[in-house]
Amino acid sequence: MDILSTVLLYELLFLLTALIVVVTYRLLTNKINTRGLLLDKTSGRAFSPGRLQMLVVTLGIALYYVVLVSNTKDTGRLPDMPHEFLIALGGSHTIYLGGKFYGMLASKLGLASPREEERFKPSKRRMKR
Amino acid sequence: MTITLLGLVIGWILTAFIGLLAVMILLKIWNGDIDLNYLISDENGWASLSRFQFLVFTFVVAMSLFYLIVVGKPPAYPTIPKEILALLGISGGSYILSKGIQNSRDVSLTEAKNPPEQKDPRVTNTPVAGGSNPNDADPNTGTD
Repeated sequence: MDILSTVLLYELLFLLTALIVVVTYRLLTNKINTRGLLLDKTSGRAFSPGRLQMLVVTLGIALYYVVLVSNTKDTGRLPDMPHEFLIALGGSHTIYLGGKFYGMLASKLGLASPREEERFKPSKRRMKR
Repeated sequence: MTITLLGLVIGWILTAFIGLLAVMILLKIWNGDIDLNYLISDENGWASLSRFQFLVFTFVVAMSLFYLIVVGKPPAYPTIPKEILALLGISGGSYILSKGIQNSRDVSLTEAKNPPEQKDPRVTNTPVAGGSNPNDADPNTGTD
């Protein structure tokens, strides 16, 4: 039984590690499409600070949790995420969604940026279709 | 005795199956048969922050679970606290809301006879009868 659990342990460790390494490597070498990750698609595809802050908060919380797990003494339970972090994540998502919602409303109410206004005008290329 | 033997046999069969599955998945990713190009992209071909967030949280929670199971004496599946479920819930809820907003905007643009721009058709490894070789296309080339 010990051999079986050891084999299974290394097997799963290999699979998980390999998947994480492959995905991370491909993300870093741009072989996984990351085009537009920080662009706001609802308001003329401009750079979006809301998306940047959400990316930073996501990576920060993920890293913090990894540290928390590596330092945990109680192995019978995943460590609790501090409430402050949950509030930070919720706030981050609210800002992101608020920006997106504003972009949509601005488009509908004609409050959008000139670049977005330009997108509403039918272009020659589209008219040819 | 028989039950123990049966458990051992089933355990080895499952271990072999998971091992084979792992090797096949990794080989197919290596050969390009499993296309990861659009792993975090939305249906229009743009990278999606929500999907990226899901990916990061999935890897973190999976590795954490694995680590805690391995270091536990005896190994046991750990309890998942409410905070982690809330974390995944916030992430998932935001993804759904964001899709709703995006779709609402796309409908508005379509009604204004200005449909949202889409990138070139997805590059997949699925053979298409009479179609061109999908590997000839540049997956990162968009319409703008």
